[in-house]
Amino acid sequence: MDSTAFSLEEEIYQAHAPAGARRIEYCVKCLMPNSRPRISFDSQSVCNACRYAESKPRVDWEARRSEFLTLVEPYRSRNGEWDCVVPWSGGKDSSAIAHRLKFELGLNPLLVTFSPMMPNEVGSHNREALIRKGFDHLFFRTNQDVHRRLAKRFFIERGNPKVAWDAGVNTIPVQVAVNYGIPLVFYAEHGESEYGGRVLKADSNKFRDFTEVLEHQIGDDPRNWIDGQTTASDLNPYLYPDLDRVRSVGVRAMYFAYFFRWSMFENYHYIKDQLDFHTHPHGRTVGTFTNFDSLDDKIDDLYYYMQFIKFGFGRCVRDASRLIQNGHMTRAEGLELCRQYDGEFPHLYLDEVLDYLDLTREAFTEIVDMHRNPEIWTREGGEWKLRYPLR
Amino acid sequence: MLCNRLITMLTFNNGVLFRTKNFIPDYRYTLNFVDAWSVDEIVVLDVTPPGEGVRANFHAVIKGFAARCFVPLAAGGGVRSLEDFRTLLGVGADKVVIGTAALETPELITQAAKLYGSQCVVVSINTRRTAPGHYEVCSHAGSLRRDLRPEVWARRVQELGAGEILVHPVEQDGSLEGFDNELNRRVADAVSIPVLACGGAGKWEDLANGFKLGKVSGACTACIYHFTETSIQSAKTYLLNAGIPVRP
Repeated sequence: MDSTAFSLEEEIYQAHAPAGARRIEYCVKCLMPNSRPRISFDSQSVCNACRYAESKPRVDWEARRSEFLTLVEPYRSRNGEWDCVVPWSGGKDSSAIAHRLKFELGLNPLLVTFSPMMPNEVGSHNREALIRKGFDHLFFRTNQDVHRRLAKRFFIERGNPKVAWDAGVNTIPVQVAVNYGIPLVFYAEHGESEYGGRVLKADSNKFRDFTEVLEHQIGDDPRNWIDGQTTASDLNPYLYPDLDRVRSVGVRAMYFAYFFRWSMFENYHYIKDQLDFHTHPHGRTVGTFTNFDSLDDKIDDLYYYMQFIKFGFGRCVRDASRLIQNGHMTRAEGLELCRQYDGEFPHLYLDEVLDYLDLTREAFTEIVDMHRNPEIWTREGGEWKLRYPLR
Repeated sequence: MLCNRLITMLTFNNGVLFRTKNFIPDYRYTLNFVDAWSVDEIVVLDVTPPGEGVRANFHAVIKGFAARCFVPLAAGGGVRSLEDFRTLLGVGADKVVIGTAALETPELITQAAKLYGSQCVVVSINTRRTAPGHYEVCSHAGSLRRDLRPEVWARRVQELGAGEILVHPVEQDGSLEGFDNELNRRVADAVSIPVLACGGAGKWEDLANGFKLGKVSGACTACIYHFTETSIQSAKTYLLNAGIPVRP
């Protein structure tokens, strides 16, 4: 055993995994590795996301629907005011939710978009297509001097340029709900239950737990981001309103996917039937085989690439696993696609992304490599290799 | 005036960095980003479950920090004997943290203090809240309750020769909801040696409250995002603005 592995950076990526390293294993049902944060595997090497998916056919969806109708009844608008906020990207999932809430469930949603960091054509086209069906929409774009600075900082420190965006996309709909006095907020799915993670409370797949969001998605309190450059007032868009104010308005945040069977594939088909929904202009998104998911931000290719660098699984593993879990694909089919596309370099918008982050290509490569987990990566003959390739 | 200390606390399972909350691993990779220069002190704890892993992996972690940082380094977790003290100090620790062993063999505190000096002996007091305003010392990672009040035990370990006390309310870990300052204040009022708070700090205001309300002289945080270069700078600016003396 090499007892100096931790202290000497040059030996970190040696042929043998560092002292104390885990062995990376993959779920035998889907393709998710145990390096996904907070996932857990049972004794049969099946991940908790697959077990959750297995439980879905046993759910009495009619009962859930009734539960939904009972819960929202007291909040229903009777004078034409908005009765719910839908955090909305214009993508298939949030558009399907908004459409169903309005036309199937009779609510009156206000759509709230926290602007993509680097908006594109297909995103604005898809948003406009739904707005034309009869929705009111608020579009919130933060101070881009601050946002770019935070993106660069967190790309360097955490390998994730979207930390501040994650905070904003979570807080702005709640800020709107509180300030407009709108009682309900509908989120899509509870990621920790749906995709493998750690669930803090029995009903946290029904009602949104803001502490869990802070802990899991953002990591620390945005107030801590104040430094020599970033001031308290720069951070307004990233802060939750006081819990007292949330309570006085009585805002309740719920997950649509708890009440209605959730499948990203079915959402896509639903929304495609309802409106002129455009997919990726290049036929598929970089790093995966899908063309209909997470389309609206040019920085997303980098975001998913960094997931691959840090945890050893890319966007293709994510997409294929979700489709396998909901019965739309076999593991063998998914594996084949992942061998072809997973971890593909985000070349398409790279120049624009480097400009956004104010980085040279050299600095960019150096930062990417700093985030490679030596448990997952080894360096052989000048090439980065996964220690435990997907199989 | 003595400066208050900002302390990084990191937990390791068999040499791999873990976050404290229920000891679930967090593989958001921090090796390159822990700013080992601006913090005032680092505490590393071995949380490898008994019977698992290899101690050498934890020792490698200590060696790594000892080589890269120039602030005091405290190490602990599973320390039971003077031999364990010798080993941890040998691989580069400046102080040793003991918890369960202090309860089971209190004479170890005295022996270690005689041999290595009081400043080297940090007693971790793990507590549970039994009722509002009532606390009890516990051990074995919180699983075993002792019929003992934290402030009483604190006074006793001071008499035995401990140089510092780390107050650790186990249910508070990773809550990001702030320290239990009622508990901290009771312990700090009971002794004259420095008291360190840990468990639950989320925002800088929580650290400030630990110093002001909890009367501690050191505040630990285990949130990995609190140790990057910009974060430490930001925490210290906040504390200085709040009138709390820290090393800039």
